[in-house]
Amino acid sequence: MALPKRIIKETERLVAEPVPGISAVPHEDNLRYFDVRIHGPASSPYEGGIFKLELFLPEDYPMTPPKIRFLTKIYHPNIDKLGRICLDVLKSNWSPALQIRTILLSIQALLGAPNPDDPLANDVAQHWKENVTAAIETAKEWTHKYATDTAT
Amino acid sequence: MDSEDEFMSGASSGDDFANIEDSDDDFDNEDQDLGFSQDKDIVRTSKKSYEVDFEVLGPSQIQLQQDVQIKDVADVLGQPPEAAAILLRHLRWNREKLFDRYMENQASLLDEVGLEEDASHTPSTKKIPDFECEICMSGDSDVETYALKCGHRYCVDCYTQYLASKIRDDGEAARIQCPTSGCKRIVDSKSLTFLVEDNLKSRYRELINRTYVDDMENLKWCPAPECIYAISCSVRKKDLAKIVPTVTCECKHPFCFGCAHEDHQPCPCSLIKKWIQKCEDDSETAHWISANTKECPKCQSTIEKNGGCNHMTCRKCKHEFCWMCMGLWSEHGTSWYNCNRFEEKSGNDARDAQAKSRQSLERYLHYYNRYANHDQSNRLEKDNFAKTEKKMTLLQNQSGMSWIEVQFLETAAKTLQECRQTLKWTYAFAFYLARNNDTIMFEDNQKDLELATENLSEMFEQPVEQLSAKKLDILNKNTYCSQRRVTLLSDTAELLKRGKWTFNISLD
Repeated sequence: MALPKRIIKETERLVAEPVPGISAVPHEDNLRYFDVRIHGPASSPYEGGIFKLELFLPEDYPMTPPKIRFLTKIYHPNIDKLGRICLDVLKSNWSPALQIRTILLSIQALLGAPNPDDPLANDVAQHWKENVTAAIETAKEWTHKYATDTAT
Repeated sequence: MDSEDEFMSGASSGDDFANIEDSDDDFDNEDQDLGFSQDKDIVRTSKKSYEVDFEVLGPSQIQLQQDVQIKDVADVLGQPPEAAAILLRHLRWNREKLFDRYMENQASLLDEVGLEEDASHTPSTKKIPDFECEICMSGDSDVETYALKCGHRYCVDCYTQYLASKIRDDGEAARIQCPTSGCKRIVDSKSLTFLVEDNLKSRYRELINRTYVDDMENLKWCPAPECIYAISCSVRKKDLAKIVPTVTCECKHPFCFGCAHEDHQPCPCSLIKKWIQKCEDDSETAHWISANTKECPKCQSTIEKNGGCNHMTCRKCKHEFCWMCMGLWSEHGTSWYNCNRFEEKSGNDARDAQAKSRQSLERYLHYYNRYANHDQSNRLEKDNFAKTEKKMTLLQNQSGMSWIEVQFLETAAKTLQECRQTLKWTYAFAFYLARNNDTIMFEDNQKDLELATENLSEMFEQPVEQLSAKKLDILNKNTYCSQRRVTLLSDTAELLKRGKWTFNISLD
């Protein structure tokens, strides 16, 4: 099936005008499947980390939101062990006028502002609520361990 | 045929279709307290005390009700019908609240639902020079585009596709918003009908109707599969401790308006909920364990003693103890099989505690077994409908009776089913009743009905060749059963209405 013009244009623009700290590259054999890298936002526990994600545009995109998942392990109350993300714009608040670019920016913002009151990973969220300092410390450790160049 | 009449009377109130006057009245009354202040009215009709007034509404009537209300509100507010519809749906068809909010701050309410200005325009598409649609990222000067009042413009194809996916995939209707992220503007029905394809319009109507019925406290969908009717009934949530509102849909499915469960006369909604939960609950297993088992004093394994003497040897840890006093067996010396510590106080207490627990379990099982028995029989008889028909044909051939003359079998089958349904729930009801005079009378009624029902069932099950001779007996018993059922339900409902029953638990 031919790729919709929207996807082609979005991809072109992602390459032509990249967002700082974010890259999304489509697979050659499947142009709906993207390798994504997001830099951890400055002054967050994820600073200095580069997080890998996979992004897939389903058949009826943009009527349904893209499917996105973290591949790099991350300690975050709204991201679970499998890398699934709890973010309103990826579910009920999705709008076809949103784009890959805007969604990735939202995810980057989520890294900068974890929301333990709407948790996906309950244990992490609880940790976050009971002892923020320790939780942030763990997040930093994980970032260093799994999301830097030294990590395998 | 008593039962027949009764069966029909429920449905007949739904027969006067398209009675707008009626439905209109309903709404006018809405703000008044419709609870039991209307008791007089209920009594006035020749209805039995356990029956409630209700009306069956078909899709066109549901539509009509909405249109009437929308027009009303549109007239009062001086808004076009589309705007009135959006406002009503937004405030869940609460007219009073709508007027209050509107009078209080018209601008903020209109803004909230995305209707700042008047919405009297006719939707139309537009061509914009050098347009690029944000959804498909393509476009041209000759592409038809559409925008709501918010001005967020997309090409018609994308707009249509967006609405279709909302309606078809997400089941949304009344509260679809503009495709722009964060824009709260609601897509009004005029725009929607203008944009979507015909095959989706019926789905849209259906969804709109569904939200209407869901939003109205006096309306409920018939829970039967594939049923398209809704029931209108004035019984409210707070009345449910005093009345069991059984209604019968046009599709012949009887159900409780209060909880949408099957007909559960005479047992109030809150009790059947508790009862069903109790029956499903594992707590009863625990109960059984506590009544029938003890723990090994050493390793705490649960042990059921199912025979033999009091000398217990735990399978797991080989600990030897006395079942009576739970003490070490070695301390029993030679007084085997006759624990001499049995009379001690501690032993007595343990025994009392166990007896009590056993008694409460047995009480539960008493009611549960009877409840389950009727449930089972009822289910079997429901499957037997075809069998009854076959029996009727057979009887016709054998005895030379006419089709009309063998109808008594079908009537009996129906009565049996009704009686069993009622009996089933009387046991759940009785389980929660405190012991007093009313309860004894209730149980007498129950016993009487049960006996008669079993008799009728027995007659009914007889071989076909004996049935023609028994016709009169069956007819008599049938009438008796129906009457006893009515008596039991009426008496129970009467006391319930007056709050006279004493339950051994709280009713909420």
